[in-house]
Amino acid sequence: MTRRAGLGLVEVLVATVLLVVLLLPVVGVVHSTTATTTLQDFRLLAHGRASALLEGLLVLDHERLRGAQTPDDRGVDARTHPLTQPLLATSARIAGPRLDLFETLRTQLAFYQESVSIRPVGASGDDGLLRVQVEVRWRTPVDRAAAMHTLVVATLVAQPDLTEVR
Amino acid sequence: MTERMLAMSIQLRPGREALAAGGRQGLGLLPIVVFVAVIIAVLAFQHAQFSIQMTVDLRAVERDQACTRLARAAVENGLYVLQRQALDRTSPLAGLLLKRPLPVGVQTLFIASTDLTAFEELRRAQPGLTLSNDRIAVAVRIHQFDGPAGTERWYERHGTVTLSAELRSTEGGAAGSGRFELGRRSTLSVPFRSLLLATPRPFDRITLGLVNPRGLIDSPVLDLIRPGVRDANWVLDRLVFELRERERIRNGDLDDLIASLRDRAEAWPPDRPGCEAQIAQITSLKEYLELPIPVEGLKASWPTDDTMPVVHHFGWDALLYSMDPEVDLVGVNLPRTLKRDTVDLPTIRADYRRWEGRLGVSVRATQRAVAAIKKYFDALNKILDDFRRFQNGLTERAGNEYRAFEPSLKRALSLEGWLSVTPAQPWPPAFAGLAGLMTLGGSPRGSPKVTRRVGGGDELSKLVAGPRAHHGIVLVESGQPVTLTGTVKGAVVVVCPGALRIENVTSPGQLTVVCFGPLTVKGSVEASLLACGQVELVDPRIHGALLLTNEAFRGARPVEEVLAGTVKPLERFRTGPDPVPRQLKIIFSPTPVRSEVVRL
Repeated sequence: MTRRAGLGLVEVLVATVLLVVLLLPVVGVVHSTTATTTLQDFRLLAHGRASALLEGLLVLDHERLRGAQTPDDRGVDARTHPLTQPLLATSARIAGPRLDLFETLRTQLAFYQESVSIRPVGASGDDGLLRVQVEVRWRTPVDRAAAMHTLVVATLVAQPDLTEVR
Repeated sequence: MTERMLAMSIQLRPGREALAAGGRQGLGLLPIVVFVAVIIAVLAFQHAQFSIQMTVDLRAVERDQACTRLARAAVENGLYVLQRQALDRTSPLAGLLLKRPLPVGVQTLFIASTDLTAFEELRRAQPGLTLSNDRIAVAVRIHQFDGPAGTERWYERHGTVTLSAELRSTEGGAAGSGRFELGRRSTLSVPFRSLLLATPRPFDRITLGLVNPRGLIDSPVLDLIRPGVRDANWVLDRLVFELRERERIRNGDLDDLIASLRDRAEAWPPDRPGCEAQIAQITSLKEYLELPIPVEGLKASWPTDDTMPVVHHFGWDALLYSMDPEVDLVGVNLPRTLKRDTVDLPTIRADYRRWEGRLGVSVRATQRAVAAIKKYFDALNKILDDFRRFQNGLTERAGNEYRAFEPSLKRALSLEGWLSVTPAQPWPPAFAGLAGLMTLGGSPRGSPKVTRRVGGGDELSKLVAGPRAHHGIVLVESGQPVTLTGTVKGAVVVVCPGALRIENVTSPGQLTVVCFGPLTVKGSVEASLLACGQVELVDPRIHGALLLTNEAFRGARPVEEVLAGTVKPLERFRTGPDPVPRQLKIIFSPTPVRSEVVRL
């Protein structure tokens, strides 16, 4: 009978330690990039939500926007604003029939807080020119920062026919 | 046992003895460890690269969207600035749009970044976006066309303004950085039209205008003067005839009668006292019958030369107007004064007929006859005065002079004239409905002139008499009567095809009302009123102007009750002495014809 030689326990332990030492920075990188990717995912989703709300407001005519001005630049919760409330409800209805997607969205969207601000920025406070702004704030599960992430999108809307002036 | 099993289980690489005994050669532990580590590292690298790429892409998307939004915002801000400039007649833009003659080609002007304050504020609020071009200017290209040539509204131009703004962003702000540079151009094209928001010339200069008011002149009241007669010209003829008769009686018949009475007194002395009494009465009558005007002026015919007689016929079609600083509508209410002065005319005439032949018969008969003749000729004098006052109170343009006014009148008093651009020469009646579609070569948005449509009185009041000033032509589309009251701050023309009631309206701006249905005016009203239908003037005090057509006198309402109240002109309602009217406003279409953002 031939006796076959193998690795000793010490060798295996050394190899394992070596492997762990080599992989530690790799794991760190993976952890970091995963967190970054998750943050970007949330930011991307925030972008989509902000754009959807802003574009939803921009299809309305100036008169409706003017009639739904917010009291200050901080804006109001989008869920309570008369113009953005139906937009959010429509999004929910679209997501509704697909329960899994809806659940996913609901889980994800619970992280977001949107506010909308519509303010006159014309000459001397004239509301012939409005600044429409949507602000999305969120916190992620991987987030350890105390402050919430913020994304602000804004644009200007001029009264299309300025035959009405103060 | 345990050691043996462990040794057997990790026999990854046979020892030399095993190899010497014919065993297979395996890998060493180190290469395997390194191999596994490399694979995991590669996967981790890929993961990191994906994450980095995602970050870069997201950043690019954010820049892209921010740049697009800013480009749109710049154009919106530019449109706002442009529209405000257009409302100011002294602005360079208004000067360019109203320049005479029409400039050739496309004019371009720029709105500087210093005027785009809201945009600059928005731009500063985008710290992550660095723009290569520090100063964003909005370019405005103006393509304009002249109004309907050959009409008094040549100044009503139309065209398109195209606003564009370019934004370039470079990662880190350095220009020419290849793929990291992005550019967006936002373009917005908006049609515009310059509209006169006042009564068109020359009618803006009149206080009261009556367009061919045959119903006012040939009124049923004339029936009191002569039963069955409705023709004022006939009445005037008759009136002049009777007044000339008065001259004949005065200079002929009465003298003969006086001579006869003197003869009788001399022939029969007992009659002397009676004859002398009669002579005295007849002499007083002769003095009384002195004509108030030279007999040469008593011509009722229409003048064929420049000499206007004291009374004259009414031309077939005529514009009667007054430019006085105040017009009492009762004073020019011919049927009303005629009715007042002729209500007893049949009795007076009968009395006259009964007693005129009894002059000189007896003292009592002469006394009654003198009284009846005086009363009758007093009545004729009053009728003459009524016509004279009416004709003197209003300037009359008839015949060729009226023909010269006619096209302008038709445009001012036609619904189509206010709703769309009308041609200088009207189309044949069969194509009348197409009038709004012609003379619009190159026009981008057709011909409508109406800037706003409202469905009822509440909407109208909210728009034109609300807290905001509205400028434009407002069409009232309502089947129900509409009431307008309150303060009109803007320059606005209200075009109402149906019934309209206007009551106690002040107009710091300029209100022009063009009504084609029944118009009721009550209280103090500051407005230029162009009534093409029936009117009910409830003793109003109109500050502005009033233009009525014959329709005003053809309703069920007695014609003598139509005109009431006063009209005083307002200088600020007039279009001014300049070639271009003061109330010409540049109105932008609420619907842009083109709005886009493109990559550069």
